[in-house]
Amino acid sequence: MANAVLPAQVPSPLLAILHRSPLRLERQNGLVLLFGHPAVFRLGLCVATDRALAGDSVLYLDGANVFDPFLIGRLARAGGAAPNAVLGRIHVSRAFTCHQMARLVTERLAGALRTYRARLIILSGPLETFYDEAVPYQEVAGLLHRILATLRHFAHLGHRLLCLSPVPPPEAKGRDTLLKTLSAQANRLIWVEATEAGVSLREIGASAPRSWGISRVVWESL
Amino acid sequence: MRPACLPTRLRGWLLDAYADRAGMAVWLLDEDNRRVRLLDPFRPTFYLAGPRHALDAVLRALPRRGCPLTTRWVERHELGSPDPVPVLEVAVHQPSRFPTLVRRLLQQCDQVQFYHVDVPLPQRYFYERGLFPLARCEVEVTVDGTIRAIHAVDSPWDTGYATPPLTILELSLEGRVSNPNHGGVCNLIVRVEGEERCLEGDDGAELVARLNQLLHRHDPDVILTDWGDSYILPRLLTLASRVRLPLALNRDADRPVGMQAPRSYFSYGRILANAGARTLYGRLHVDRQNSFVMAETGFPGLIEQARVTKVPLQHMARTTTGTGITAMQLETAHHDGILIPYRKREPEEFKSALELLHTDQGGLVYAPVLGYHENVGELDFASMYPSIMTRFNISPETVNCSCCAHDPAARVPEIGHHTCRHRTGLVPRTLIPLLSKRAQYKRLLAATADPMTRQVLDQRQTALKWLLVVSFGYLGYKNARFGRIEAHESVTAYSREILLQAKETAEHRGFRLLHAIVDSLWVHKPGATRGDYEALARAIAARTTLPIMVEGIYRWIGFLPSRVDPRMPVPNQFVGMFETGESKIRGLEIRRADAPLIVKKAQAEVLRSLSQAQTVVELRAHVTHALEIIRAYRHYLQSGRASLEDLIIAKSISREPQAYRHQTMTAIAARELLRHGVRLQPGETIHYVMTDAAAPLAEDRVRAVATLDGAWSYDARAYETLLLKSARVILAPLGLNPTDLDDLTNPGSSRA
Amino acid sequence: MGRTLTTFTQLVWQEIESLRRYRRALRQEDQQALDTLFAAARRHSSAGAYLARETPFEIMLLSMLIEQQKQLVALTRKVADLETRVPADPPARVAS
Repeated sequence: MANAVLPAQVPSPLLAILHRSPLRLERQNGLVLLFGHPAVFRLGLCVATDRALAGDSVLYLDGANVFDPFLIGRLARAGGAAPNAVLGRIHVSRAFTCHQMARLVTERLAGALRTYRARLIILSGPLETFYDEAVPYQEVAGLLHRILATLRHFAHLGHRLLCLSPVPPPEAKGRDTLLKTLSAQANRLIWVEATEAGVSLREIGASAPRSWGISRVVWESL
Repeated sequence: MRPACLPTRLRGWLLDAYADRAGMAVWLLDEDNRRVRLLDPFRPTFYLAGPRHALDAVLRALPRRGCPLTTRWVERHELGSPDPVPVLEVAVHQPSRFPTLVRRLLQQCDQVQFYHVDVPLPQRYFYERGLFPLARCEVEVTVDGTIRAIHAVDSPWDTGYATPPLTILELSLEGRVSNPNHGGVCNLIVRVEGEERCLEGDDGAELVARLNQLLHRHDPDVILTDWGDSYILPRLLTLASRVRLPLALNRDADRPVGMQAPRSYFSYGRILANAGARTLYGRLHVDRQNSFVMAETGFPGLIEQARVTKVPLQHMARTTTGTGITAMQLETAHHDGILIPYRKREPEEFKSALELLHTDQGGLVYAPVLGYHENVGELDFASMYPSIMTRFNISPETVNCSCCAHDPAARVPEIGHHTCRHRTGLVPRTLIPLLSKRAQYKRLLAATADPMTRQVLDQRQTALKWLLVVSFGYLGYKNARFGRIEAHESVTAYSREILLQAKETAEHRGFRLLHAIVDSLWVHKPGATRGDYEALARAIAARTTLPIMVEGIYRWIGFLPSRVDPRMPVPNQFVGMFETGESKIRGLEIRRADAPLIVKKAQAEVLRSLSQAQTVVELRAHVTHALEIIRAYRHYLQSGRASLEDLIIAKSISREPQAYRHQTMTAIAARELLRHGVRLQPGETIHYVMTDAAAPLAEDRVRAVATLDGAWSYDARAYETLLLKSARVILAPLGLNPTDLDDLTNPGSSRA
Repeated sequence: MGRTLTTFTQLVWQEIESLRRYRRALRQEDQQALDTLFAAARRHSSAGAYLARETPFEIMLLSMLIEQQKQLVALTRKVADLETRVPADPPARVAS
């Protein structure tokens, strides 16, 4: 019976699935890492929309150049909200180099959290800029170290952090350890896979292993 | 090369400069036609900022033994901040040790900010001394060749400069069109001072000895090659070491030949290959096949770019135009006491997703009105983006400055940014002289009749045009030192506003907008005269405050349909005939590097025939003749007489040969080369012919040109299809459907 | 550095792609009509991009209507033109 009220609250079947998963990010989850298939980016945008629909301010740090306001617009409309209001609650900054990404996290994030009174931080493809061979590995590793220290600090202060990271591209030769370093810092790890049936999410390393599925029909209706 | 006793004053041209142990080695081509190596005891500096303890740690880490350094505290500015900051200046007494020293510190000290560390030393030297490549200089020297004082007597902004009397030795491969690294053997051709020799490679020792002989006898200043970077020089050097003979390529005998590995990189969404580099000391090596600027603007253009950017000639020849414009910005910064940060760190300011929707846009492109039109005027904004940057003061430090937030005149249209009204930005300051020098060249060009002089002037102005073209991209480019996304967004926002103003002005005066691309408009009004179009240009210039010119009036112009969907027009794809009888063609096979020569020839002939038409009605009358041309070419193809040169298709490979997932012709040819042991890098161009395009076995469909032997034949049908496609795009808007085109040009058909 | 946002032309392609099943089930002549409508949408990409709305489908519909309206005007003009050329002939006689 309690379920009967659910459809009115949730904007779409997809967001309903997210609500049942750790991506709801309601409790003190610390740093959640969504990794695996590039579908992580889309899922991240869904989470951003979901929180913005609930009236929250969201910070979206884009290192992968994948931000998509049109998807958010569609989801917002499906959720019965004015797209502009939802888009206005999501604040974006793009980084095109690892140095920019590092500066964004370590020097700009605190101010933005205050300005926009945001509680949710989404880091989209934080490592994508770190695979650039033009920057020596040692330098890159140092930057990542500083980013992670800052993220730990914000998680400690009670901010919700969601990291979206696809598996490293083949060009990332020898830098796949960066993802391991990142995942070692995460409080919850969710592996994302895309199959014929749709997209599946599986929590790794939890005491009770859990998984969630999004059917292809729902996923493609986005 | 160093005369025992030198006069104290020398005049001449600066040929080369590079870091040496005790300073910068400087090569001068003096007035007595001597090549002199001098030494300037120049000490390059870099700067450090950070917490005191971190700087102390750096000071302790600085290796002083064997490499003397001087440090002192100075004040410098960060770009855009009004207050100076104290920084530690480190002067390195041995310039040749500078790069290693800096690399080590960068790895060791991560809490310190580094400035001025990665500006190439010859450029730093040029900035400090007011010099530039091939400058005419006056030098005061001591008897041992040490420079006491050096200064340029001409300016990089001169338009009437003389170039030094350079001796050029050319190296090329006999009868070679495609990349020699893809296979085949050929002889070395040497051209110098009007003589040409063919050196056969049978006896390695003799070849090296003969080349040495020529190098000693002529002592060339420039070695100009085709495929020198990737093929000739590497092979000559290997050969010389095998036969144990030194090869005198370098003028500076103490130096080995400089070497850089090949690499692939992305530029404007395309992958490009750089074939690596073999560079010389005291002498300049330029590979025509590995130089964008040489291909676009020739040697005069290369010299022009090296002079204004102060990037050494050998580097300018091989690097991107973007490196050139960045170098110019670095110089502006250096002169103003602005610190040049190591790696760009400034990220985008947070903006709402709604704002992003409006700011993340490019220039406006109006799809053309399909078909042929008469009496059309093309109006072009001159260097629109650079003009916007200088006119509206757009620069990383001027966008969203703290002083002009409430000034309505500072507001960027539509997107909520503003630019500074008080201080001229670094980017405009760099661009203003460039824009004015190009305008000067264009004025000179208009007033010059001599074809040789005209060609040089045109190459020089084109070289500057390229620098201006990329200056915009480098406002947003990820590696641009002084780039910023908000500056990039401001430029495109202004460009959209300005194009809309131009459209409105034209429509207000009764013109119809047929096509527009960012900074060009094609407009039409029945009965309009040249005077009317000129008046329109003046009206647009008055409203937008940006210079706009009538590029020309077309007797007729055809905006041609998409090859995939004939309903769709394609931007910047047209064929037009100016009143003057000249034509302008965009997007057709004839302008494409990958189309086979036979297709280009046929298309050129069709266009020549059409060009006789004065009106669109006359154009229709010329269709029959066009069909005859295509028919003749098809007949020629079917007869099997087409030559290899006619049939070669050149394609750039977008990935490693193994990484292709589909059996495209390019993939098949690339893999064939790979099987022959050829190493290919993404961005490289390969050449192939279609042998049996529909063959079930992929390897039979195409053959790489480099591996062709005596026995091969081409697929006439496949080439005919290309031919028909190239004709269809031009003739379809004149009412010819594809089936008719095929039937009417088929040599065997009764309808023809 | 590439742009982040999908261009308007790409958005039209996405829309077409999302209607793939719909298009497939249409008769061929109706598919052609549908393609013509979307070609009209692409023709006004610059105006669509300049507006920069987060739900671009409405703008595509408007672009289709613009092209239809232009055709309507052109056809009306043609009919009027034909009517002046064929003065006062009773319809029955024209038909015979």
